[in-house]
Amino acid sequence: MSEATRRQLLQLGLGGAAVLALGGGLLSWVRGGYALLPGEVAIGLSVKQLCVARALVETLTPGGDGFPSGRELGLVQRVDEQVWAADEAMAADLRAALELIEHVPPLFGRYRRFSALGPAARREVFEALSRSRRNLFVQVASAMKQLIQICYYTDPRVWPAIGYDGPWVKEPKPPASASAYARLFAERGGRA
Amino acid sequence: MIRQGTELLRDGRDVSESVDVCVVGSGCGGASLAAWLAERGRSVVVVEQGGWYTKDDFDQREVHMLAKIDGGRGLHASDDLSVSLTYGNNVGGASVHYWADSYRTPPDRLEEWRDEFGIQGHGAEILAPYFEEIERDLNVHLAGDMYANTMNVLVERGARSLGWHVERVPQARKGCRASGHCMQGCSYDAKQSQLVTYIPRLLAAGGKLYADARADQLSMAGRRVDELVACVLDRATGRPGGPVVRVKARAFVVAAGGYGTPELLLRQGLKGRLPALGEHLFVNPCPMTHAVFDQDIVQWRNIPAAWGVEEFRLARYDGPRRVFGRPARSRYREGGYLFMPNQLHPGMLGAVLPGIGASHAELMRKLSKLGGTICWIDDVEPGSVRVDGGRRHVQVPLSGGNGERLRDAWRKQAELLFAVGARQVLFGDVEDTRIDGPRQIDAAVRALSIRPGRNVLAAPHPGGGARMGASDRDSVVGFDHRVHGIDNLFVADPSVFPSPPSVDPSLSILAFSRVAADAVAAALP
Repeated sequence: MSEATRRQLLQLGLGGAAVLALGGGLLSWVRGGYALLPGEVAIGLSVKQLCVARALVETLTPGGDGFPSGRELGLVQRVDEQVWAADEAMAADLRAALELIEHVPPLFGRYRRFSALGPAARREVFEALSRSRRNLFVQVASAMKQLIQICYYTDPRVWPAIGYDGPWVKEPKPPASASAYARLFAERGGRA
Repeated sequence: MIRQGTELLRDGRDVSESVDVCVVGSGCGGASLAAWLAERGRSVVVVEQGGWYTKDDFDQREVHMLAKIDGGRGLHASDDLSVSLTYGNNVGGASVHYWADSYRTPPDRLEEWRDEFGIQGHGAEILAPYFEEIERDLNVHLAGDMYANTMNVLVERGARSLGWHVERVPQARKGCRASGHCMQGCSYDAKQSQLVTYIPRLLAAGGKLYADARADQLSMAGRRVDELVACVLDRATGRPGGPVVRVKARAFVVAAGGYGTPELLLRQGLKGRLPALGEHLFVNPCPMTHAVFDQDIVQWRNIPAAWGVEEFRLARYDGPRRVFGRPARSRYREGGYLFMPNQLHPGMLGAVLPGIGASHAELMRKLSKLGGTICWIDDVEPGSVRVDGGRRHVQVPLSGGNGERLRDAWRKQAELLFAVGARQVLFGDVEDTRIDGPRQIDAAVRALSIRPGRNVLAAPHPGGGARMGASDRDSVVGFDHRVHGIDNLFVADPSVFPSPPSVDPSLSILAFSRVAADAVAAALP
């Protein structure tokens, strides 16, 4: 994203949040009420951003009918890993995108944070974001969708549901970034 | 000898080299030029930002390999997210993830470069012996029937049924196992990338290569570059780890790729004296079209493109033709792209198919019956690379002539897919446009939005950002690949092309680098 676009993103994300905080008089609407689930660790993301990422994972990935859920796969940690391993500019964009998604629902008639919405409302908000007339919203939705879906469909536990027979090289060889992230994850008490 | 970041960081000390030639980048342009010069007895050091990986590191897992060999871990995009920037970030550059399609630059394009852009010294007759040599080195041969997966067979059959010109695609392969993991790097050393061709030759001739070393600064002394400083990167984080590599050389060659070369030169403050630097960017934006078939397609096995539709390589106009970056003087009719079968594994396919949750999963459940095609658009509207606030910015316009080509490419892809029995065609846009028959094509394609972020488009073949020409007013390098006004700085990658070569650029890059190698050798007394 360009600097201009990033500034727009930050302004929309934080500005939107500020308007709502003023309207409701609730600073906690912006900051409060976020908690990690047992075994989760926020390394590339803040605790708040990780919670938004978890809500997005639940919204964007299937579950049941042969498909494992994003939560079963620990997908939110994969998202956190991608942000941690990304270059600083890209990581900042991804974090800002999550902040925007968290506080955008009022623009679509839903007066709760994204992570506090129920599954149907989240889906509705995300689809509205994806098809918005604002390029920025579409860009944010597309970027997060692509990141999460590539993480989901590259997990071998999903392959039986889609009939993919997998790589011919049997032994995975993760990149150096994955090994470094795994060490940090373990050191900070993470559990898969 | 290859020295890697892990070793240099463990050692913790700066490294100094003094050689004849320092090359930045180890893709098609840099590795081949370095090998040719080393074989002529020149001392050569190559500095490569990415890591060194071999076939044993290529585990065929998409996310792992994006992190190892793709620039920005596959996450980088143009400023407005119109296109995903696809480029190599490893020893061997993009040749490690490319499809191995290996075309000579078509003579009509070389003539256009000569006639429209005044390019000298790179005509078909001059390049012909270089192409022959390179094709021998890379075992380039036309794809045989054993390479054609079902999607390829359908593309060939469909093109013939529609009366379109279709040809076998020349391939740089030896002992291909047909795993279908070309884009994740070849686990069998069958693809004749730089990793298994010119880099071993460079090393055998005594050349040195520093991996995980990001070229940051070219120190100037008058009209000459005196030294290159590269910081050593920690491969786990991609961040500088402390030590630097300093290379003094008699000649410096920048071959950091279509995005990296203009970026590096811009960071040296050369824009003021070279206004064309970073301008005139082309990327070959790639519209994809997906289709659901009744039969099994299994698009992820065998090679990506054994057959290619060449019918639309050159655009057709009513009146004089349109040339890259120049105002239209005529009305566009069709074409201006190469048309190929597509190959995607489930991670990338999942990312580019429309929808979310259960509806998306229903499509993915049909994985084996999903096929598709892709076109490399010969862009006519120039983009740009800029550096601002320490950050690289890439602009790729999808409007004007580029937009016309995108729509025509979507239309032709849908025609072919229905002609070979597709039940449904999907354009992959955010509106999730799907059509069930050829009568719906025109209306659907007209309605497709090409505003930023609405479609999934890759940008795999960047170039033009340091283009060749006679004058420093509108070009960056001369016909000897030397940067205007700097006596010992050269460019050897697609950045020097004045417009897209209209085919996969790898062989064009190699042949141009062969010319550049001669020029560099001549510049060293």
